Amino acid sequence: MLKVDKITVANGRVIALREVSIQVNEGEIVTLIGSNGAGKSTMLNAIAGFATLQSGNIWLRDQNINGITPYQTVGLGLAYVPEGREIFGSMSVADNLILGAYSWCAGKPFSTLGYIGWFLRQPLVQSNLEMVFRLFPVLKERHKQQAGKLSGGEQQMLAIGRALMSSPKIILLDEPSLGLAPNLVREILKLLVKLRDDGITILLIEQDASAALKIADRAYVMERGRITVEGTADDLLNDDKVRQAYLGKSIA
Amino acid sequence: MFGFVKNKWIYFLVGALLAVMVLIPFDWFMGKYNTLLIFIGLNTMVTVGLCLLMGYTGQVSLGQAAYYGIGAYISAILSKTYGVNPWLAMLIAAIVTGAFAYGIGYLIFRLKGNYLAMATLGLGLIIWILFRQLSEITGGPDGMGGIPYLSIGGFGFYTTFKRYYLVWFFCLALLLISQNIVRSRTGRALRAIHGSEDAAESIGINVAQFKVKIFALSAVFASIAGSLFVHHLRFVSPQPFGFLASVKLVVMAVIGGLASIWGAIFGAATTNILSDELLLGFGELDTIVYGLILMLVMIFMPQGLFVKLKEIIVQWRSKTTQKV
Repeated sequence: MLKVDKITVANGRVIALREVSIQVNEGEIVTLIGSNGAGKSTMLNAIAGFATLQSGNIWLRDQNINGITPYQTVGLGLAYVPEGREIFGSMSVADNLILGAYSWCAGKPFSTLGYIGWFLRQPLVQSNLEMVFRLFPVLKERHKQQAGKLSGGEQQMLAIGRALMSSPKIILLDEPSLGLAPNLVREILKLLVKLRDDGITILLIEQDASAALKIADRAYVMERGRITVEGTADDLLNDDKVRQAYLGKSIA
Repeated sequence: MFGFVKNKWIYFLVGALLAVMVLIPFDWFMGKYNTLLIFIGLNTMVTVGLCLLMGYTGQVSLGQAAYYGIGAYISAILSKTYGVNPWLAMLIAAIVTGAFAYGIGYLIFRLKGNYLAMATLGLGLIIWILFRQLSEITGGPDGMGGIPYLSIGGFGFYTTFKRYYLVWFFCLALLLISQNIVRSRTGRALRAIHGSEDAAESIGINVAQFKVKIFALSAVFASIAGSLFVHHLRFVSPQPFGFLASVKLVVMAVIGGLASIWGAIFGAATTNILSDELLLGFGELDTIVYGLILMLVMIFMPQGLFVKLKEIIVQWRSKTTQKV
């Protein structure tokens, strides 16, 4: 599905990623764990097209997406939920969601042609909207509310819902649990499992490594711009070094 | 149209407003203000373009008067010097200005915030200097006169009475077009760009292209206003297209509320009435007043005077209904 092949990315003078390779297969939840500054977010930025590659290749379903602009990646079925949610606070919840279908509509013939386009677009957008409302009933209740006035958890749901509006094949999530209460975190992670079961591939960054490993199929541990450990989630959960460094448990 | 009246009264209100607008230019009503009203209409057109750019897309332009001027000069030169039909000249002016802004926008919209403001400002000054220095074509600082009036068939817009209708026809048309843009999917995309460019990009909006397109559109609006301006006065000089004119346009947009299409009329009207009626004694010093207004509005009601008044009315209405 997604193959990152030896990419190097620099943020200014600091090299954030050094020849890093990861692979995400179809229908998997893959998680990147590691401390702050390990390069996890840079990895997602690079895949989504926000960071420039110095070397290496990124392949999305056998298509090379090096140097592609972010708005184009959405058209290829890749949705990105950036860190800090980045919802449009001054707009209504419904407007936020409809915007999520923006590029997906642009791919359909005639669907951008003014009023004619509106008629063609409407049923497609509507069906996706209903799908998102089924996943997040709370968003349906609040669809007229200003998005900025939602609670943190609801905003996160909105951010994920907005990404789903583009009917993605793969979603990149950057710390969806940031600043949320533990029960909300569990709810969101449970939802990710549900999405995976519906056939959406997920690449997840998560601070709470043990929670992430519980739902993930495979995982990569990053340290200072490199991958240090990789394997199935179960392997990593039982790996002594990982347990000590990221799971906060002493070696039994 | 106005967010706070969401019932059938809106039709009555709009009908009444239109009726008043149709009656205004008659001598027994407000005929002596026709010239002022024409300028309010012209400024509204430029301001609404600026609102789309600044309020909805979140990009700054401190050189908007230059595009007003390009439209004016192209219309003037083509119709006077080369005898081109004024309507055709107006169309050519709009296309050329739009294409010019598109090209320029492609270059300068890589910049953001203060740097973008500086670039638009610099560009505005360059264009203004060109108007003054290319005196063989433009007439230099003295300007050029004898520009023909607009006419349709045998019907010429020879009086201010007739030109009032002409200008406001265009003005309302541009306002309705803007309203449509804002309410559409494009408008939503614009507000998304204003909200967060990265987030907009991450949901598939081509941010760079959108900015340039809206910039070009705002330039076309300004150009149309410029063309109407020269066919109204029959005279053009660099004076109304300088830096201070650009600032004044920003003041209009700010007073009306940057993210408010219909506020543009309010902003243009307030500013024009100030400069043409109330501040005449101030001479050149009126700029101080505009600067002061800009600061006060930005500090106390950043959403704009018009929007603020609207909110006050809504609050007042909800209070009165609660009592009943």
